[in-house]
Amino acid sequence: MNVLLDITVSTFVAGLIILTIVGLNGVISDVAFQTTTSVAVQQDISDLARIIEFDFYKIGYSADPAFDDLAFLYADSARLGFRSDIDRDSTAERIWYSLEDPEIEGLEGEAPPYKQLYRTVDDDEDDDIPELIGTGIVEFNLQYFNGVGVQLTGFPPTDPGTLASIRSIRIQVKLQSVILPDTVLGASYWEKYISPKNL
Amino acid sequence: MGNATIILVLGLGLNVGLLSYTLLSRSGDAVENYTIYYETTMAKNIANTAVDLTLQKLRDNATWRDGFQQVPFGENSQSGTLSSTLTDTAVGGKDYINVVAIGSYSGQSDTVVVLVSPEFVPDVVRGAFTAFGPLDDTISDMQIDGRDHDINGDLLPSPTDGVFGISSATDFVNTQDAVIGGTDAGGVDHEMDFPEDPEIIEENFDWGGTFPSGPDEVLGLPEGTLKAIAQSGANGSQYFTNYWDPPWIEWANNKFVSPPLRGVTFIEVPPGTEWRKIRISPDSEGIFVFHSSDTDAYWNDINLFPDVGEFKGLMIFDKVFHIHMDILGGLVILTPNTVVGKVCNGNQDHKIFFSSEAIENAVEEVGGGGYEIVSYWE
Repeated sequence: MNVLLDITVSTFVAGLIILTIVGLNGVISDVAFQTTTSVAVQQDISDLARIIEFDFYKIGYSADPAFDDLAFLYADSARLGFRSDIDRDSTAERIWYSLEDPEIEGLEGEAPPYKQLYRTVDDDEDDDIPELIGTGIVEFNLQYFNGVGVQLTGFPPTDPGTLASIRSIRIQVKLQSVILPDTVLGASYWEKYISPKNL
Repeated sequence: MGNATIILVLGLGLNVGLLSYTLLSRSGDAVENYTIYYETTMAKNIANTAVDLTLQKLRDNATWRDGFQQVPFGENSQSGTLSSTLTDTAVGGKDYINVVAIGSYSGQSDTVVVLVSPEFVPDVVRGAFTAFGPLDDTISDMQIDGRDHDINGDLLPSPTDGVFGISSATDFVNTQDAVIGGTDAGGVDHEMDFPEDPEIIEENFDWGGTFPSGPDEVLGLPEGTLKAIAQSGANGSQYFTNYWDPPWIEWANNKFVSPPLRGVTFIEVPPGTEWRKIRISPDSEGIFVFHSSDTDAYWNDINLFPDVGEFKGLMIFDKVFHIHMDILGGLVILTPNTVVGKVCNGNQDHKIFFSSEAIENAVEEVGGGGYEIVSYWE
């Protein structure tokens, strides 16, 4: 009788321990997944921030002192075109940033849950292929300010004078991890106010 | 049964351990992401600081090319260093200085490359005729033009990148019908005219209490520099304290005329001194200073003798009236107590024309002026 009781109790205890460990295993797996996802998003936004900073601080730059072309080609809240001699060869390239909808299978005709940011360097060669520099973008906004810090409105502008008066840009970006086509997880936000010195 | 349970528990425990390790590792990665971003931003900021410090040194000493080498920076000087190098270069026949600055912070580094152009027209020269005090009567009925002219006095093609016709820290009224032109704040040139276009008159300019009290300040030089250069005789520079000793010449008709002036001409007189009808030689040039320690030296009636040609360069007076001569370059009056309530007629044939070239020729020799940033790579 005692032996039977021992076996029953020990089986029950073993079951409890196994259930606890399985549960703990599930929780930790979940947290590990979320953390990994979050780290990936942070890495993505950190990389995106570095690319944007690299380009935006050089708006209007040229290694040629005689360069005096208008720095901005186009500007609105989701698209920006500007001139910059980013490779320092004394010839200014035209650089475009544009926010686009992704192509997701099975979601044709539906609003995608995120957008993608493309960067194109137009150096008058034929192979100007847009480069995907950010995905999972759920918030993206560009604002423009003049020399005394007043926000400019009416973008895209219809006159070159407004483009010529831009002195600073505020960038706001929020990324979320793209795990499944119609699901977003994790989030990271970056905002910066950049005043390119060549304007 | 017992063994199987132990293996199962140990297996699950191992799994939990591995996941926990992964979790810890990912947390570390998250912190590292932000740390690297912070460190690269700090490196960029330090590099920009290196540029600021380098340009500041360059303003103090135009010939300085040493740069900075691994200078510790920040509260914890072990964390960051700044360095810079300066190289003279020429592009399209024009001289530039290329500044390469490097900021380092905790293993990250950033480079900033800046091309600067020597700018020898001092910031104080805001107009062809610049003063702290009122100029209503001092300009008489002269021709004054702030548009830029070449060294021969010919007007440069518009836009000329000139200056105002008149700049003063007070109101301005053109009391004697002077003909005035210049370049307005937006860079637009305006022909000489009477009445003048108000856009080329700078009234009530706020100097923030920083209007120069001495000639060195006009050029952004340490006090005593111009006097020392004049006393050294460099490039024909001369230092005077009076006009009755040689080499000033007394003519038969009682005119005192200076010798031809070159380089820096520094005339230092006691406070309260007034010179009347003292002439300077034609074809003089450079930087001309008439000054007392109280900034009240008064030159009453100045002209060239014989009255041909013009002075080319920058003239700086404590106080002057009856300007019966031509100036190609610029004129600055230091005193706030300029002459008012007097009339100076018959000056319609005399002119003050702004010429950046004439000023640059004069200022370059003494290492004055500043630097314009042409391009900034960061």
